[in-house]
Amino acid sequence: MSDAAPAIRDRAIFLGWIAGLLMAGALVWIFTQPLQSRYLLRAVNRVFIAAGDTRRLAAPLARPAGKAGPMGFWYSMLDSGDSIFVFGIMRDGILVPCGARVSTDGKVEELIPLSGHARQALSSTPPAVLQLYVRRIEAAKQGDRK
Amino acid sequence: MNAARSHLFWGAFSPLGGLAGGGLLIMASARLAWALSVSGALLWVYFFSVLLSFPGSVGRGRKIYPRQGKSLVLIFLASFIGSIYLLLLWFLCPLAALEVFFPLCLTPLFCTGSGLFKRIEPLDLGEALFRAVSEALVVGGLLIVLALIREPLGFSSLSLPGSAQGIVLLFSFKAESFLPVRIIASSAGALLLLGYCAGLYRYFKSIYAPREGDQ
Repeated sequence: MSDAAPAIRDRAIFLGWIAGLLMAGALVWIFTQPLQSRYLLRAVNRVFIAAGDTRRLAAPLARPAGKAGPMGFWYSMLDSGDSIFVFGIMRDGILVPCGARVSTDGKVEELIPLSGHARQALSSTPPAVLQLYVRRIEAAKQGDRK
Repeated sequence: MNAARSHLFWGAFSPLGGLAGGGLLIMASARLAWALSVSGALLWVYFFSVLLSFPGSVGRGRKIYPRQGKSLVLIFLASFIGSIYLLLLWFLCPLAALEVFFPLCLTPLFCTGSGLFKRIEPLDLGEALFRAVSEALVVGGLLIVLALIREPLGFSSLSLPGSAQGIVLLFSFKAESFLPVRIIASSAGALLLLGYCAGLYRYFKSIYAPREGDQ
């Protein structure tokens, strides 16, 4: 018993560290999600303004329920029933920020490059890769409508 | 852990232990903007990981770490510190943070995988912090040098982090689409460049650096 006590104590310290750090990280990320979404909305609207585009994001939307789609943020559009999904396309280990304008019937109408790099990278991305992302976004949106 | 007794496959000092570093160098050096963001992350993670882990590495403070699994605890600690940097970058410039999300996730692994925490054990806090910042600056400097070669050749542009669009292009030429040198922007090009850099490094090291055991 006396031999087991230090080992158990050691294991408890280890689990305490891992659980504590995981919990602290998760709490920080979960409680700042609305703030992250709001900052991203402002950044995307600034991109539209800089590009002379009249479209604007209005407010964050909840993630569609059901089928899991790509990681990203959903937003409603000002003066339009469409929504925009802001996400990243993986290219050489870098997430290329893009917005997908999704119509009310769940179809992706347009892919919008959202950064200076995305403008350069999107034209050289194979159409099959883009189509893969489009299909996943449409599946996620249509899963929400069922 | 003794480097000589490190496990051949799973150990922190195994040949595979440096893979996170290779990935980080390849991904983050494609653009100067990303290299600067990741260099900032390296400085942040190295400095605060050493600052927060140091009290537990000396004297009676050793009891706050488990005897088994300390390396894993340090990985989690460095990852937590790295996630705070990512969060701050997100609030400053969300699109820039989104672009470098994956390389930033590798910086804590690079920090712990480099064996930094073993090297600072015999040092006092001031020396340990100086050592950590110096190591981060060396890696960050290498990233920036590689980016200064890769971005103008690969993308015909040069960028800085910031602005609404994530990067500010200092200059950009568009008539470069068919130049073969554009391969340098891809991962394959980065590996080629790393190979040349490693060759140059060994050549100059053989001339200028004192041999181990000479002093």
